[in-house]
Amino acid sequence: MKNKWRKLVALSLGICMLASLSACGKSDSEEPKPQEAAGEETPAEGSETGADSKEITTVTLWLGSWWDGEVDWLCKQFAEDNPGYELKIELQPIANYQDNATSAILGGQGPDVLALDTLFLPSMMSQGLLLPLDDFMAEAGFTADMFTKCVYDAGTNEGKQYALPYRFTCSALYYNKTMFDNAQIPYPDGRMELDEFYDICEKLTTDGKYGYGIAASKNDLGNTMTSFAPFLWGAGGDFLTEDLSAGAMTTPEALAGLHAWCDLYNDGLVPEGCINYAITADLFPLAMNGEIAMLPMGDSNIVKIDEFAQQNNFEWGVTLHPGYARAAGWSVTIPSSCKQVEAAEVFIKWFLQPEIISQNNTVLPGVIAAQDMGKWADPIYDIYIEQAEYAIHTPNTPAWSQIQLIVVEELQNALSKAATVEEAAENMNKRIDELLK
Amino acid sequence: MYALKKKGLRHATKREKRSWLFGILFILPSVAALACMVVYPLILTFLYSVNKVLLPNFDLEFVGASNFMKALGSSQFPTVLKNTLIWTFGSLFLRFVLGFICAMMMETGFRGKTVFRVLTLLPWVMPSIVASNLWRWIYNVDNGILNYVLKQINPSLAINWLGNPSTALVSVIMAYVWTGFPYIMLMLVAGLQGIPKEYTEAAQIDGANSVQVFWHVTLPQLKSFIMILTILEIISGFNSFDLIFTMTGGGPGVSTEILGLNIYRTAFQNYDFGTASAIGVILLLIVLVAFLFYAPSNKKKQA
Amino acid sequence: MNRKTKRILLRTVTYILCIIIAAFALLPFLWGLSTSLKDNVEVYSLNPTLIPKNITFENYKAVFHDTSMMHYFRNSVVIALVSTLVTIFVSLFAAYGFSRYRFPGRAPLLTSILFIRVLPRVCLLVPFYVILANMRLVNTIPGLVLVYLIVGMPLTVWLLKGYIDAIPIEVEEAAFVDGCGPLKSLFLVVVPMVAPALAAVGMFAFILAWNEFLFPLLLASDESSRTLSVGLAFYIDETGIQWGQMMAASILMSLPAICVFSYAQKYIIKGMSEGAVKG
Repeated sequence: MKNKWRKLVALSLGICMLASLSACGKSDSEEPKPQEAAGEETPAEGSETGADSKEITTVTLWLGSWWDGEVDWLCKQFAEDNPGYELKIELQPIANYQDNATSAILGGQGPDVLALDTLFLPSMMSQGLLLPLDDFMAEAGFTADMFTKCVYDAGTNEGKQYALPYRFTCSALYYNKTMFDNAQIPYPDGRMELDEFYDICEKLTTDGKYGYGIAASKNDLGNTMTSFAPFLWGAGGDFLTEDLSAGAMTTPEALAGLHAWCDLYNDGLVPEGCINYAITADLFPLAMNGEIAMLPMGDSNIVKIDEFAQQNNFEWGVTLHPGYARAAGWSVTIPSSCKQVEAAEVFIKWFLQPEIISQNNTVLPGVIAAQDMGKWADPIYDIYIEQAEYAIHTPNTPAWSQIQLIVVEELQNALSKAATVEEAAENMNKRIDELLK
Repeated sequence: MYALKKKGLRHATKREKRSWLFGILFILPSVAALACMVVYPLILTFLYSVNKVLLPNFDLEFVGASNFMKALGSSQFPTVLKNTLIWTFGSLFLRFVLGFICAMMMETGFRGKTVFRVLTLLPWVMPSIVASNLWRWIYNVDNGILNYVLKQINPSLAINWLGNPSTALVSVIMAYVWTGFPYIMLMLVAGLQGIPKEYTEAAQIDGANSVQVFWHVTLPQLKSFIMILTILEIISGFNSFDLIFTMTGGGPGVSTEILGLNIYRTAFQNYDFGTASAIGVILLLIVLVAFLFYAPSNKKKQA
Repeated sequence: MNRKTKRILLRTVTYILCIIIAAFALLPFLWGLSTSLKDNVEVYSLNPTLIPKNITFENYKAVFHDTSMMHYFRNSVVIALVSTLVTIFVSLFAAYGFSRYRFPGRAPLLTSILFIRVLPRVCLLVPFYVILANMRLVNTIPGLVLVYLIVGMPLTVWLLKGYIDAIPIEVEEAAFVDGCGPLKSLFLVVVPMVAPALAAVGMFAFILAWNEFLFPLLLASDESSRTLSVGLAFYIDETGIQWGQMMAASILMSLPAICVFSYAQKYIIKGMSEGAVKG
């Protein structure tokens, strides 16, 4: 018995040593070539930044995980077009993307170029986590009108530009033609007025089906804003006053907008679970099953519908969303922790060229000239390009993430009938004013 | 060592001189790790709690106790605290009950015991990012499997589990209990193994039935074990947030908003590291105070 | 007669409880398994069935063919094993030292182990990042092992210490008299008696390293050192959740842990029969 334990101890120590040896070996370099590593030969770049043995400068870029089909050609093309430079793309999941980026920047180890959703911009800009790009723009010859306006404006803070859009993805209105046919309503054509929209929803809500779906989930605040903001803005209201100094949710226009959205839920025109739903995770499946007739939908989901339409036998179309869509998109930024600003600028200048950005097959470019090149010339994207004219970005104030939280919390109170719409608006204003004091 | 001293073994004196040293040697690896990784965050947390922290360079501006006031004085705080207590103690109680039942069952022999053992470990093995999304889907009002089954039985049972302020917290607690009870069960089984069979046998010979054996023999032996687990789980409960964040985000309204979630938002969405650290300091002080009560009673037991 | 009926009653109750609890533990898992066998369209069907209408293995195939996933799997295995062994050894030594020896600073040190658990995660993220960066351990396996050691220590050290405390000193005295040094005494006398707790601690450390998400996301974000738990997050993107593949990957990922545990369980239950306390 003692021997048995001795053997076990010896074995464990042995495994431990072996494992740590192999672990040390692995952590340095030499791994199987996963797609994401820089496409070229040298495996010895490891994980430390800029391991340039020859005179090659490695630019590190963070992109969302849905770019994995594009990594190879991006790296190859960048190296070809920019001798002396090399691209290393590190894909990150959308889960905790902002915390991930923030920790990396604050820890001094962030990437050279960071892709950010417009949602993440207000707080990161105001906390000094990003570098201003105005000088770079002047030198590279970039001007504001080269980019989709609403996404570009989201990257402006106190007159300086911190982010340049490479993608815009505002949501247009998807509708199920078959359900419209069954209810004998003509297809929607262009931006509807809010009351007209309500009537159509009402007519479509029969037999356990719903006319529309809203998202009020508190774990995805941006999503909820995408759902709610069009109604607020469509009624002529806004979250804050013009000078961004106080809340504006109790104006008659804002109240009208609040009612337009909340009534959809309170009158049963949207599924019961909407109070906790997100658009893509929860509402999209319901729409694909023919449970919901209309839904805000971005370009990345539009291409997935056909699979379901065939199996579930329905036809569909896209038109402009009522009200004003929330400006959504992704931009490239240079974090304040970047140690190779020049290299980062080289990349951005290269990446935002219409010929380059339009080559990707994953995201709708935010560079206007690229929007009718390559895949993006497809007519289905015309509606999105048009939607961009009716899109506004959420207020660019440092306190926006807290304001967003307050708004969603009170919206949920209004939906769960813990408060009336008017009370919810009052509370929103009160709390926002206190915050901005 | 004191015991040895009492018995007056001659080895004792030599041993005493070295015992000090040996003690330090044994704890050296862990203390080295602590010194590496814990000291710095501790110092920073205390430092930030009394300062306004300006990013990105962590510049500091002394503000005294105002971070603490902000943390404790917010209008949401009472609700958050109440929810946290329900969350922590509710899930703790349920997990212990389930864990105990399972642990006791593991001890008895019955057919299918091995299968049962493996099955009860499954929830623990699932990564939390999958478990939280899976449960969210299961609870989904319109296309979740739970309501689908309930609708077949009685349509009025299929309620809005996560979207109704009165049922949201309980629903998330059930999911948390599901992921956590195997771990408690495992620890209890390990603890039960430490109880010499002679004790329980002696009690049974004396005529005690199984309940009495449990109450008067098993439980007291497990006391210190349970205490440790409870303390650690309470601390976890105050800090946990990822399950709730995925399932409800703290909503609807503030009905599932708990402290861990609050701290996370304060640091990474509001970028207010000062206030987040202040809450951290408050938690530390609570634990320290609790220890002032726990430690003396522990010392008594040891002597 | 009475005793017999009592026993039958007890048996029945045990079985019923057993089934209820097993069902509670198993059903969500079964739902996940069922989802992994469905194709994209059926996943969201409004008439969900436990047994898919068209069973498909395309999700599992996709996961196996995904070289990145296999790479993450290997990373996770290495990290979990190394982390478990390191944690067991360090915690065992620490628990033994704290339990059997008195030295200045003992109580404060013991309490300070707890602090890492008390401090909210968010207060640890950036400092950990900075520390690991200074030690050049970001995106490395030793770096993560160190983090898991620290995060697990409150439980592992305290639990083992409690267990060792309960072992009377007389048992070791016999060994001392025989001339054993403290190390021998630890491994030959104490370890067999704390085997259940040791196995439990090992399982805990394994699961911690296997399932942890936030720390590896931040501290090992490099493709080469990414773990499986982070890899799973890639199935969630802005177009929704790819349930089929995520569940397939998650189930495949759970299998090693289940195997390890079924094996380790034997040590927990059997451990006490060897090296029992005398007298």
